[in-house]
Amino acid sequence: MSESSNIIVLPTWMKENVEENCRIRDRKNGRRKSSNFLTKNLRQLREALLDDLLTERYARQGFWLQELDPRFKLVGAILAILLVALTRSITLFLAFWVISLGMMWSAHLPIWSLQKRIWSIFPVFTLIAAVPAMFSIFNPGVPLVEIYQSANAQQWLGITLPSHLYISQQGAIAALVLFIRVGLSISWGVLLVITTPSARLFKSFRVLKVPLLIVMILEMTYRYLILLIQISLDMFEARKMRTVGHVSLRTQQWQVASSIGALFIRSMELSDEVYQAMTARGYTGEAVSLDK
Amino acid sequence: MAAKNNFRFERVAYGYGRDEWIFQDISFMVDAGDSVVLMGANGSGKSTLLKMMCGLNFPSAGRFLAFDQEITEAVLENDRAAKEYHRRVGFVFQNSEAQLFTTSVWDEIAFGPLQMGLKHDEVKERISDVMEMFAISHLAEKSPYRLSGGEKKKVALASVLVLNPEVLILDEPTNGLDPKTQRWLTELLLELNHQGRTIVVATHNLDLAHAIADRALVLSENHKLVFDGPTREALANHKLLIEVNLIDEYFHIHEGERHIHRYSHN
Repeated sequence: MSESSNIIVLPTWMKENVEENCRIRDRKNGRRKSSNFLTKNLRQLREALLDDLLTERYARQGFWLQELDPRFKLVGAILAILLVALTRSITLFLAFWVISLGMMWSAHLPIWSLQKRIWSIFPVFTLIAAVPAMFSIFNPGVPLVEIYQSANAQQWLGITLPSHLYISQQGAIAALVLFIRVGLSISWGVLLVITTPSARLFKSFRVLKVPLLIVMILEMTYRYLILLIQISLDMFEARKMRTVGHVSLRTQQWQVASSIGALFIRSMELSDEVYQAMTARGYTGEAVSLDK
Repeated sequence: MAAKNNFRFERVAYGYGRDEWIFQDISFMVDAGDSVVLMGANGSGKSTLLKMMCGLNFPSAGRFLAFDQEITEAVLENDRAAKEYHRRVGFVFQNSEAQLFTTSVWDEIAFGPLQMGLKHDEVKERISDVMEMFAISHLAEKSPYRLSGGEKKKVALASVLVLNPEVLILDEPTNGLDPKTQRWLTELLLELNHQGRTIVVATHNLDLAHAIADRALVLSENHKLVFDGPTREALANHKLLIEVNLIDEYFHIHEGERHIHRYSHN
């Protein structure tokens, strides 16, 4: 190997004065940066998922709900979710919500931020998915909002439309009940997960005789889900650090697609290695467990 | 009496396709109680060779024997044979994240002994002993993602050593560890070797190689075994180390102390 191959020659532009090269422009009156949305969401995701769950910040505080035997909490949460799924009584819904709020307050959890997270994502998506069920085609009944009415059934692009289309009271109530059920179920699930260290929670599954293989799959899913979220957050942050100025929608789409691809490849490699690590310690397809 | 063989490679090759070889024509032996370091640049095939010793992949050509028995995929398809083999040969992965797959340190260390079918009391005793030995008893309930890099490596090692393997194989064990943890690891490996364990380590860390191994195997960038002999000789042979891309010409010795510059003296 020649000595010259080891000499690093900097290109001229790299030797130039950095300050002159890269002036930060005053954008006081300019457009708001579109990357703020992504940045804010990434920060919130990191705070919510990684900082709270990963550090088990709330699970390790010594209040009564945190100290309660995880088996009771697990059974209690399952019962509450089952009752919420079976009942249609507004009083019961309200009671379950107030109790969950009371528990959050007594366990010193951040009630407002949890409520925002619980009710703003999944229940809203459920409500959107339940929109068709509000119409008279699927849930006929007492009209609440008229869409249109005609004497005869109309034809449109070969599709026969009903002569009377409206949002029914029954349909609206069904969608609302679904929204409340999803929100309350998540509330009780969050109460369980946020106040119990993950290792103790999974152990309580075993105590309740959930098949070991299922517990093991759940444990590993949880473990590697968090790891992959960490990796993907790092990937996005690394990309954000190198992104200057406005990036077109097409480029952003390409960036997201390539990140998904890279993450998929990494997860495949990781799953291979995890399996090898299990095999190297004697795993032959049969899970064995032991409680302390 | 001649030392017993742990591993014997007879003209072993491993590859993906016809011409894509990870390594080729590799022949060497590892005797019981040896401490061997496997050196080579990135991509020279070290990890694959280690995984073959651990029974995780198998030769595409040639023969690989362990404990005087040829190891093939068919042999390790037998669950009992596989368990016994993995009890005797412990492997510490380069990536601790892949190795720590349960949700608590205690469960992680318990995984191996439980798979081996040890009695529950014995498992608990072993876990307690090994945690004490590694001074990680306070981490028992912690999740792997709440551990530091050094703690992860300690747990990964503990989860392997709890099986009391005859051979301990480590892939780049000092990567990402601080100097104090590296020193702790070096002393542990020396002590284990002193107690009769066979140690095989893949590394580019020349200081670690110098400290722990009597014998060095060097893989070239074109995937061939180019040196098999005393570690001192390998480390003193700068021409060889430059050829296999482990050092460059600025690597030199000052008054008996080796160090690497980022610049030349000229």
